[in-house]
Amino acid sequence: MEPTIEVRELCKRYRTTLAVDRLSFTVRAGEVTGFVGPNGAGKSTTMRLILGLDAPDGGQTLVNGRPYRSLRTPLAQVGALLDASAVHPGRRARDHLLWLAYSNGIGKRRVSDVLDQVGLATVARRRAGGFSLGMQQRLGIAAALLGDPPVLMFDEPVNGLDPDGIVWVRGLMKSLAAEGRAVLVSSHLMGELEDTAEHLIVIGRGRLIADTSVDKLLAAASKDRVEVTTRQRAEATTALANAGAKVAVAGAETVVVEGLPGDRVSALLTEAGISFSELRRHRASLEEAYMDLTRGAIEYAPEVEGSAR
Amino acid sequence: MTARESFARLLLAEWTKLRSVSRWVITLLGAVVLTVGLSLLAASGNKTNLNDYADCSDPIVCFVGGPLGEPVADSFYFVHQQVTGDATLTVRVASLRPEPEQRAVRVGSEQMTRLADPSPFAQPAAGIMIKDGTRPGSSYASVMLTAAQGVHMQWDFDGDVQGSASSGTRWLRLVRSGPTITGYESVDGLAWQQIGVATPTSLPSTVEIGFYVSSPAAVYLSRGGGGSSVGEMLTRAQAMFDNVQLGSGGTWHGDSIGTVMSRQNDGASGGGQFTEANGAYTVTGSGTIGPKSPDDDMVSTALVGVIAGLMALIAVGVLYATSEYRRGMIRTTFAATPRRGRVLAAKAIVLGTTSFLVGLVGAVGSFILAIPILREQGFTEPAFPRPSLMDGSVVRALLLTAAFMAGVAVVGLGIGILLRHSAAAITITTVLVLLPLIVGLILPSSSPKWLMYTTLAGGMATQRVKPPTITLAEPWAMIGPWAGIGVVAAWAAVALGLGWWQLRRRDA
Repeated sequence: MEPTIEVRELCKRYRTTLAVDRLSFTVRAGEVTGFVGPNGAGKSTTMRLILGLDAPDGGQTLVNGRPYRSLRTPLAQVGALLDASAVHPGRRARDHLLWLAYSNGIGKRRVSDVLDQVGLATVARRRAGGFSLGMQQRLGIAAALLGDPPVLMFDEPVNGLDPDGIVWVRGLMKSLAAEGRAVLVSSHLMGELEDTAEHLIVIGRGRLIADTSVDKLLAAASKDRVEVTTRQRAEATTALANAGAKVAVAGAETVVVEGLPGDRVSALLTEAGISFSELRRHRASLEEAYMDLTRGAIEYAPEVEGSAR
Repeated sequence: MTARESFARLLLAEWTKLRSVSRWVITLLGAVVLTVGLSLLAASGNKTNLNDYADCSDPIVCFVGGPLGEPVADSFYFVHQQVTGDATLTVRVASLRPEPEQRAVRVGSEQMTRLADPSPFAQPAAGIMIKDGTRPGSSYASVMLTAAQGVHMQWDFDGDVQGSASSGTRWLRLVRSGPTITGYESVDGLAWQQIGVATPTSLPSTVEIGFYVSSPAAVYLSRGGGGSSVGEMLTRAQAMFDNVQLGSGGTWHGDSIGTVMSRQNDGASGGGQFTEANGAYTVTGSGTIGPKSPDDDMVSTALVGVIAGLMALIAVGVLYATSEYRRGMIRTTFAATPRRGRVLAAKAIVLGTTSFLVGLVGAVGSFILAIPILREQGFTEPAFPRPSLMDGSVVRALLLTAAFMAGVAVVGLGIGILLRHSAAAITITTVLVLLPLIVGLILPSSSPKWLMYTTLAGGMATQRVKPPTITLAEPWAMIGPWAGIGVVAAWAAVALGLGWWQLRRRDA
């Protein structure tokens, strides 16, 4: 069967706070799914619930169609990086991977392979306590890859990585997805996922806000806005506002016009004798789209988009 | 790739975790060094003078070597003559009057209480005996009427057969035929009942035969407040023998056996005396015939360093659990093996086995190195026979001591899982071992026994090769080694059970 992560009506309560509130989504094979939400939105909790580490108060999670706790060699099914610092500081990198491998009956050869793959082969015999944050992330990723699993989960994998490392992680995620694996990557910064994720699950306060493809989300966030570059910004603003448009200043010589089609804007400006150097459809950034969505969540008015694809 | 899960692989994984933190490995080696080191230190400061009285100038603390070299007490008043070859001796014990017991005595400011000894070798007795000469510790066989335990046949300081429960007048008979001696008793001297047959270790053709009276010294004990004092007072018993029949009619001689003092006093006091009137003999005697070993346990003394090694093992046991929680490593562990009970079981087995081996190396090392030191300092024959690695009791002590150390480490593991806090778990486990030892040293008389039956300190009893005794300051001497290891095993089971329950119940 196709590798998947399924989350159904999941609820988790910590004393008085509802950390996860009837959350449902599915992570599919062959693409990178971004898992986004502000800090405290419930991303890590959801991941712990998927891994059977915490017990849900309602609903269930399935990995490849089975509850995680029923898996006998889970590392061969799901690789997960939750917290890169979760390594005994006195243990050598290689030994950390070795005990993990033994516990799931994975051969020693594979340990050397993943150390090579994440670029830690030369420091394999050094104690993890002396590792930089970036090296710890790489070790955590190596642990996730150990069982060559069809499903992968990474909680904030680029934290602490240098730019080279970030590029490497993004490439790795994409290549893992291209191999047909289901990849779930969480981040509290939408921008981090801009070039990586093809699908997004956005949550806020434990609830699903959006479950959509990146393309659709961007299209929706862009709306029918037009971006105008002009030296006569003030005049342009007045002219367009008088015509009933919503005008926002986006730069020293740039305004974003909402509520009027592009040809109408062009006509109005020409009519008013305002010269402009450029007029184009505004394309929202992922960050912008995300801000729109999460603003709603913070105000307890989630605007849920159906997972149409 | 074929990924297979099995418990053996889980054990290998947990062993890899344990061996890959070098600080833990160093601490485990340190446990051996601490155990052996403290044992040597304690041994070099430990002296005994119990053998200074081997000449029996003080019969109470006189240990003599028995027929097989084991320490025995052999003092009594013997009315005897020499016979050669097969012989039969018959007497009637007309009466036996032991000295009235004093329940308690006061020595200085100390109140001391009488220590009852139920051993059949420790009863006032009047009987007949065939013995290889009059040297204390030589081979013998006897039948006797005791004051409170009926008739017994005994030989060579450890053989004992119960006859009738009679306490009144009794006829007794010993028949020697070659190397075997048969004991009989009778109500009336006509109908005889066989009690038992003995073959003493060494019985030459010429032996001493006769009747005797013994009366063990009364032992008084005061323990607590960190120490223990044992006082013994001579007691005397008096018996009347008549109808004495021995094939050859030689002359009866009275001798205090095993008492220098009485020989100096010409038999008139100390050991005893006898008088004869119309074929009836009135005999007064004191002393004990039977096994007598000092309560001090040489093997236990040589293993005292275990308490230091234990502290190191507790630290490793606790950290092996709590380190999983320090950085959320437990999530990696349970993500790899979602069945948490199996993880705990694997941890307990890996830690228990490792600690057992560490404990065994420490205990055997202590034994091999500390025993020669102790032997230089008075722990020698006859009071202290050389303990050997071949002795069953020594093997038991070493193995159970290692098991005790392993058990305590596993308790540390369980408490670590429960509390998820290193310092608290180490403190609690250490206190569970040490506090009862200290409190037990201070509490009076045998009251610490219950502490030993209920706390980890009871595990110290595994070090002893000798039977439990309440005469020593160290409270763990009060219970037996199997009880000691049982207490530790129960604690380990409860700690692991609670840990397992918590692991299942709580989020990782």
